[in-house]
Amino acid sequence: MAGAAGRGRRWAVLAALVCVAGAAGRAEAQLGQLVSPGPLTAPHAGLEGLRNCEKCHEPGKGVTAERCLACHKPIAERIAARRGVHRNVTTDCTKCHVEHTGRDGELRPFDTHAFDHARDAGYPLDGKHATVAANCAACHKTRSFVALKAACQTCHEDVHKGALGPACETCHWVRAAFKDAMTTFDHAKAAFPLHGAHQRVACEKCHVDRTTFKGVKFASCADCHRDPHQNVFGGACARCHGDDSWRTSKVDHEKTRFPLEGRHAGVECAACHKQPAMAVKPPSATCAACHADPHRGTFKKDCAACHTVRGFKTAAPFDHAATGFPLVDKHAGLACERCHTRPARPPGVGATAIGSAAAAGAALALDFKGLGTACSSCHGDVHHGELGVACAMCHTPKTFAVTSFAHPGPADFYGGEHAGLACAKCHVPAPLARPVRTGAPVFSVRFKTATTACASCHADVHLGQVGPDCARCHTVAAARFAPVKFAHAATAFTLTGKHAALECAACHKKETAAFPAGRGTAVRLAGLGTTCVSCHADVHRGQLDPRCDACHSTDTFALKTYRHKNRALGSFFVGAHAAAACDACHARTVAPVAGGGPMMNFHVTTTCTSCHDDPHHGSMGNDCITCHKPLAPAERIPL
Amino acid sequence: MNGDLTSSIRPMSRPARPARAAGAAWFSPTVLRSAVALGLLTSAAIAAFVLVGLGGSQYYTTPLAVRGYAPGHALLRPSGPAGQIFGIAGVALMLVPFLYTLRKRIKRLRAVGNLKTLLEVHIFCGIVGPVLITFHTSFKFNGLVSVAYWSMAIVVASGFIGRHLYARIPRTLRGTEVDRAEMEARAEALRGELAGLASPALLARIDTLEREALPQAASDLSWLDLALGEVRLRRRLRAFARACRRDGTATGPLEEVLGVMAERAKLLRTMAYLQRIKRLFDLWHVFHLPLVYVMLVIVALHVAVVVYMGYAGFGR
Repeated sequence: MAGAAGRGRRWAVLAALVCVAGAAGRAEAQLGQLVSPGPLTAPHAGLEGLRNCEKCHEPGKGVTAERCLACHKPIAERIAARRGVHRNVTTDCTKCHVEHTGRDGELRPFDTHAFDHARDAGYPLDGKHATVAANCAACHKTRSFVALKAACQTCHEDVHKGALGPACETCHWVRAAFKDAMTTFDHAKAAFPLHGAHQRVACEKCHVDRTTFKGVKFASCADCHRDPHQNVFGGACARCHGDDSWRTSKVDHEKTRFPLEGRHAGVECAACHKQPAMAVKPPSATCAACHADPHRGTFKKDCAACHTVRGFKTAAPFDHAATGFPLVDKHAGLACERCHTRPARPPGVGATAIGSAAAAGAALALDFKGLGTACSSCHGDVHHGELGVACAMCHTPKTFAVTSFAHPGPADFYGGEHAGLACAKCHVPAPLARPVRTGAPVFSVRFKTATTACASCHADVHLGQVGPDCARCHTVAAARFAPVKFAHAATAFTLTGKHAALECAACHKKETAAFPAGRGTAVRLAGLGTTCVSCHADVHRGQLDPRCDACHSTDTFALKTYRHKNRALGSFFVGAHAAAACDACHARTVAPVAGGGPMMNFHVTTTCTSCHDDPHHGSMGNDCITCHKPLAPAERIPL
Repeated sequence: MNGDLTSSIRPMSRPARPARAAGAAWFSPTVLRSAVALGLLTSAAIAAFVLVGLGGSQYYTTPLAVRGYAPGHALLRPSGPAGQIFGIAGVALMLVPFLYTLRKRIKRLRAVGNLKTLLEVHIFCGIVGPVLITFHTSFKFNGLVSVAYWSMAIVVASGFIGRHLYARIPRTLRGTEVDRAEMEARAEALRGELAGLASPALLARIDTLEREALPQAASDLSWLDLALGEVRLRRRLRAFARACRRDGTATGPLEEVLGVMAERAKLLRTMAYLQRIKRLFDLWHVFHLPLVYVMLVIVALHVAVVVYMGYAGFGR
């Protein structure tokens, strides 16, 4: 164990020696860095190294002001002169400037916003300078703050190249923009005082290179201004132009060959005297010199026939009668454009009537000539050509509605019930998919193709029971097309007796059923049958011959007389039997059929018990005739 | 100082087990742990005072480039009044541990002081001193002197490891090592106690556990087990105690049995690894010592430069 401890000690000493030797080896190269408490800031980076320590540190005293100021001589001067930031410094520099804080360490910490440049630097930053006060580097381009002089040229370039001397403040002022030299310089003292619009011109507009200020020529306007009139007026600019504006308000147009009247008075000069060529004199005094012709030459050059200077739209009265199409009735009040519409403008034709864009938009390029007098020139044909072009047959300029029309067809067809009908009852209108011209609802009406066949207008209320020949029964002349031509005798069932006076509807009932023309509701006319049961109910429930005429007639339904036809009964209908009423034997009973109901019973026999009760209760047998005769009651055998 | 230390430490440490056997006190590492605790506590107090009381938390977090103009700079910079006091006090505290070294090395000093007490002082100063020096640096580690600082840091770190190894070599109260025969006797005595207290069934379970959890032969020893086995053994003992309490099969004074059993198990483990730990502890000195000399040389140079340049005046 002692051996192990001894080994440990030897190792320890050896390791310590290696470490110290290693450290010393490093010291050979960078001993300064080894004893330094940290890297120096960037400005002092050149002072790293052991040999430089004492350039700042004085042995036993630390960093003294003397050593700092040995290098920082401008600061030393200022401290001595008691001015600038350091004017009151008495302590060591290290109170404010801390070193060994790394390359990015701060040596001069101060608040740029709080810095009083006037007091601490002796140069106030006011006026335009105040805007860069917080941005030190705007003026202090180098690290040193004390390198700048308080002269303008220190920061500002002399754009006048010394031509105006070093006294910038003669023209410039820190409280005004640098370019705004005129705030200080009084041009009125110069040979060319500035008046009117000249006062607002930037200096370098005339003093073009910013170095020539004296000797600028000004005798003639052309010394500075270009003549846009190409010397048409010579050099007498002042005849039209003044100092205040380029606008030529002084021109008296009355003295020209084109006095401005009416709407012309308010037009901008440049509307006619166009820029930029400044062709001041228009080629002629004609309208076409300025106005485009929206009518594209159709009226030659005689604009004044319709237009005046008071307004382009307020046209002079125009006699339309002279055109061969006098405007009467409804045509009289129409606006011109209703007929003289604006055609699509062919490409390349300018729209401009007068120079301005607004006028161009409002200008109407109207075609006045070449418009036909035919109705179809303006009106759309609501009949789609069906009726040709002879509109006047039905329509007049007074109103478009058709007031009178006589059908040229058969007179009897258009008389009677048909006479008073509205056209549309037969010429049925159908709505158009696309309204034409006016946009008002117009109807497509069929005229030519309508026929006089009844079926073209009328529906067959009989649903095909009586065929297509309506005229067999109906006439146009009869009121409500009553079937006056109909005679029942012509049918298979002549109406006699009581049938003659019946209402048709008593037999011809309205029913809903399948008819030849299809299923529907109609009065049954055909197929009614001629037998009695077609109309009458059989009160006898089929007990008797269906040919009712054995007993009944069309004169009356009641049975007047009846003779039993069976000859064998001749002996039976005698005495009291002969005088008995029918229903004495044919008693009313209940029909033995489904539904029941009363009926006369015709199923009777000639046996006595068929009608008579047996008072003997069968004790005498059923041969009543042995004792009783069908005689008068007085002849009865007493009981 | 010994009396002060122990009286102030004891309430903070884990409550000592009720005195069971008078001769068992020298196995308890309580006192040593307490030197560490007191050192850390003092360090925490110092740190709180510097960071909060002196505004250090703001000063030390200011970027280096502009730290020179921070409010705390005059006071807390390394050459400032507080900074320099930290440095001097720290170095002074770092010199105190040498007393322990000298006492151990120089035979003539054998009679002076208690070795165990000196070790406590050694540990306490070795913890608080570096903390003070850390504040002296103001967290700037530049140049040669930073080599001294990091050497110190390594020495302190190795000190913690050394304390751990030291604690695993049984010693008497005066700090001298217990010899093996004594340990074996103690183990036998504990075995006898167990036999007297526990039922035969419980005793059998204890024997099984000892067989399974403790190295039985030289081939069972491993460096991994040396590092982690202590924790594993404690966990196993706790599990065993829980199992015994839960099934309730054991009769008699269970808690006492468990206590004795734990002490015996740990003792047996210590004995098994004693040889290896002693070897490790010898080697450890090689790490702990040489950097101390590096540190001393550089600090001497550092102090010399500072005094020569005129910065020894507490920031005047």
